[in-house]
Amino acid sequence: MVAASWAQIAAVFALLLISTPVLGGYLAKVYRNEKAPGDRLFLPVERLVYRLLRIDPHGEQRWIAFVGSAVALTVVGVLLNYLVFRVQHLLPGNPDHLGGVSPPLAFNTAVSFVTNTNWQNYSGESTMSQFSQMFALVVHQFLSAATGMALAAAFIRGVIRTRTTTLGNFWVDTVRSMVRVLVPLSFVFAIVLLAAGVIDNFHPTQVVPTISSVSTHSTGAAAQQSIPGGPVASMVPIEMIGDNGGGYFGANMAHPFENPNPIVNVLTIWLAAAIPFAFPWAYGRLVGSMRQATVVIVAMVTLYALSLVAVSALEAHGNSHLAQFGVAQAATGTNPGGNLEGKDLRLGATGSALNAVTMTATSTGGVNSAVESYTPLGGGLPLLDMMFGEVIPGGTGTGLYGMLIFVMITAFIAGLMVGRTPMYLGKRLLAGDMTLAAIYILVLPVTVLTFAGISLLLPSAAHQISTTGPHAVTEAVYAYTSSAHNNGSAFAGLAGNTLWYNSTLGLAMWVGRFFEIVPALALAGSLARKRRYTVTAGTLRTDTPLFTALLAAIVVVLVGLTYFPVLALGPLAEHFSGHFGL
Amino acid sequence: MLDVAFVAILVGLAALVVGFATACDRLLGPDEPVLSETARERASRTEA
Repeated sequence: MVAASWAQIAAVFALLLISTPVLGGYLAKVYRNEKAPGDRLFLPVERLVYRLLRIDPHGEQRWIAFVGSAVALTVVGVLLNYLVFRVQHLLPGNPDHLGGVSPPLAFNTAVSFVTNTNWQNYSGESTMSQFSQMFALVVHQFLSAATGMALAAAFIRGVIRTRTTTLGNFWVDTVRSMVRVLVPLSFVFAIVLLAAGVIDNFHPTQVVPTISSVSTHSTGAAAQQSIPGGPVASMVPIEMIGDNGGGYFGANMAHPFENPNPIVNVLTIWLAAAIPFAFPWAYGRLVGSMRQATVVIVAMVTLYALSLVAVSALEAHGNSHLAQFGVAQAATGTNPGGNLEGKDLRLGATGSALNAVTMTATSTGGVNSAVESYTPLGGGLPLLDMMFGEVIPGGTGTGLYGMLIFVMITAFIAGLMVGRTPMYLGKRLLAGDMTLAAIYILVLPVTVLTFAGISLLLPSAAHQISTTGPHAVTEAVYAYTSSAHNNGSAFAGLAGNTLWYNSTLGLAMWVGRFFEIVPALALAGSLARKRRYTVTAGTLRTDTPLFTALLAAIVVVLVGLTYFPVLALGPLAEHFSGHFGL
Repeated sequence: MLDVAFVAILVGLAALVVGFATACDRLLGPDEPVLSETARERASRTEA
């Protein structure tokens, strides 16, 4: 069982090793607008979309117009989603006759899916009609992911271009991301997942007697079970490929209809990491320096792998609190061993840890276990993965530009340390650029800590948290970190469907999306306007192993400085008080 | 009533982003220096 669990990790890394150069090379061709595989199929579709939407494929936009287009698409999307949720009982595709969604939950869910967060304060099978799932949620899983990819393409152009004020065209990049990447991949993997056992139908929920038909009721009535249906296999691929994470069912990837076996578990985890790791490769191709791409990829992989090894080891080691009750935690032929509370026996502690780390490090959030039931540090590390700013490797596109902002901060700090003019790829980094980078770094911690602090102080909000003490602190901070960082995974102990949490988590998601996009694209706009200076022997090199180590260290130190106090009050306090009796 | 409130919040949030973007654009300064710098360099190349 232990070997099978570790084999899942090996399989994911092997798949990433193959997909990163292949998909990265393809993405570079897509965003360079050059001849690429599939042109004969995709070009006519693109031209049709441009004609229907009256998009000028050669039109260029300044950074602010690029952001404005993304905001316009999102605002229209969020209002339409809100309307669909409110009146879903009047719409078709509702075989279970579910009622309209309440205004606070409709607000939260609408914002959640258009911002690529996919935080879910509801169980899909008992709240959302099949129409709402397909036409409100899934459509925005495509659009929000394509938006992130378009933004990354614009950011890369900002690095590449000189003496210009334009970064490309948001609508063209979004259409190309959809038509050439997200839709074809989702189509193929929907069929693969269907073949692997994920359900896909339009059945209403069926209430059936259990197999044993043994009554669990004092009345003597037969025990019954509700078996939901739905178009699940067609939703899961974009849930993962687009780093969305919003599942069809409330249990998400822990539901056997959504994640029926370890093969689907491995495939979905790989899909979540495929585009985020491919984007740095595409970046290297586009800037003409694979050494620059290597710096970004190595820093991402190092932090991701360290987190994965640590969480796997912590969970495989078991939970001392369970041991004192005589719970068997040793690995045997039928027991995968370790801390199995809140985990699926088929996947084991390691398979669950692989999912939890990947889903939090990639901004996906589609977890297959209850992170709340992890050991204090084992649950704290997925929280830390999100706090890194979704850059190891982060979301579709958003992870790349997030890490590139860290690269520029590193170049700035290192340049000043050695007395050289801070430059990145021949472009001088000035005070205005660093102001934008600082805004980018600080917006999220301010949002998370403010809302989490108020939630812990408000009795009505704190009452919704299932525990007290350090675990409650982790719970509240996890919820707002997951929302603001647009991850969407839940720690699993918060009853969030209240006016307070629906509203404030929605606000956190909005701030986390747009108050990050704006400074990032403004920085790209600033870079695009700069001239490129010749790199000399006196220039600090940004493509060396030393710089890579510095980059990883800067990410850890910056996050440590901002989040350490709250981590000390949450998972660290719980670990030391629980395990060592301090 | 709650519907009106949430729609108003959404519109307000969009306006907030537009305002924030405008502030960031001001931080970058006008585009003209880029263009004038280009013009100056072109002129110096002509002179050379």
